[in-house]
Amino acid sequence: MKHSDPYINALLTNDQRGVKEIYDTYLPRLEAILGKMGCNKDEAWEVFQESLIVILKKAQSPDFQLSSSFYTFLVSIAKFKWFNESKKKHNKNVTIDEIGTLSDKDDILESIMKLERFQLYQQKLKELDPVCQKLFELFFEKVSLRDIAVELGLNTENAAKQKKYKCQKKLIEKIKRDVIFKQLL
Amino acid sequence: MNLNENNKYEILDDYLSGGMSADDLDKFRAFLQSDADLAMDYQIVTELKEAKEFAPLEADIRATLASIKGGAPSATSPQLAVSHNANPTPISKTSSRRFLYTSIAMAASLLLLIGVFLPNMLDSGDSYAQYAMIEPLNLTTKGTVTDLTLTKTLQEAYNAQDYDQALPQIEAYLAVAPKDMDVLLAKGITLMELNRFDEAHAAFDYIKSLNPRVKKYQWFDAQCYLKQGKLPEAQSLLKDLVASKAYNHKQAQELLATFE
Repeated sequence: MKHSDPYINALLTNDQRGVKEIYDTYLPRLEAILGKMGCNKDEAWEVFQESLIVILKKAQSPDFQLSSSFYTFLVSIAKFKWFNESKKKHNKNVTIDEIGTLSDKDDILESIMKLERFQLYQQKLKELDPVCQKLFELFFEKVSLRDIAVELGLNTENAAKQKKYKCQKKLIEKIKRDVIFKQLL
Repeated sequence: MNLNENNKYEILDDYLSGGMSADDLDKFRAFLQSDADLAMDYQIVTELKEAKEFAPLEADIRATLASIKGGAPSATSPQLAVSHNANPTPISKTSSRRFLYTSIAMAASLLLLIGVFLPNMLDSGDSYAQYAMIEPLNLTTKGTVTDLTLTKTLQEAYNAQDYDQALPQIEAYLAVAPKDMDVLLAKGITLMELNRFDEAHAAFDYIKSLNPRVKKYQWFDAQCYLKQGKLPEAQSLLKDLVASKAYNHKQAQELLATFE
């Protein structure tokens, strides 16, 4: 997958030089912008990092197109991200003046929410009992149900299948019960 | 189609795997439209898969950013910097992953690295140190052996990487449950960590004789050869893992690439 924008491409290929260039060029600018919105340097670093992850996720989509410059895109995401973070951390709203510069296609908020849901799923997976954790680990590694049954000491492939459904049910219930999940929808 | 709480995940699975008849497909889609709870389950299941697929890419970028922020030597020069006319030279996924695994291994087990690996961290031993991530043992929930004291002491010693202590406990456990695959694997790893290589290979061979399909042992058998500096033997096992898409096949591929 190659993108015409070199910064997007640097993220997609995990090109260290390119990512370093993004870091050197844009982190100081972002710190200055977000600093005016009450964000300290450590928080700006977190926001910068999370914003690049959002861009990476979006850029993975085959129909992804930048509707602005990379810098505008990054700053817009960072502002949304900081807006969300300040609501969570400090229980206060900050004003975003960047919305007008973005295309509807950018649907940044939805991307931010989705990645936060991803983090919640990973967290909830870790809260499952070790057998379910192992089952999911094997399942996502595409190990067959027959081999999962052997690994988990279950008698049959069908037993592994039923165990998977039980673990899935537990996981989904945990996710749905979490108050944060409802805020991320 | 009779959709209820007991079978909805099975039906959801059928839907996602494309194993549903056209008739059932229409009915299920109608359910998805009308049942908000089912729609949410569907969203979670599909996003969970997406999250798992995205996780390695995310980890790679986070590792790169962490290395940059941590003051790792910069590869940037004005000529090489990304610009709209420049061709960025991608760092290989292997390199970034190697960095990630090294970071994880170091954070998880500094003691393991300096105490056990240091004498072996030459040549192929480097690869061993970077890739041999040993999972903790979870026996208490299995209940295979009813002697809970033995189960607990074995688990604690092994997970604390106190392999001298763990080995007799493992032997005692296997005397009761001789075909417990987790503990058999732990035995092989323990012997490897104690540099008792021939016995470690024999332990891995025994696992293979019991169940050749589950190739997790093979990954550690390869690590054992790496620790011994026996590169061709390690390569052969790793190539087989890659070819059969077995346990850690992606890591095996990355590891093989570092030998080239």
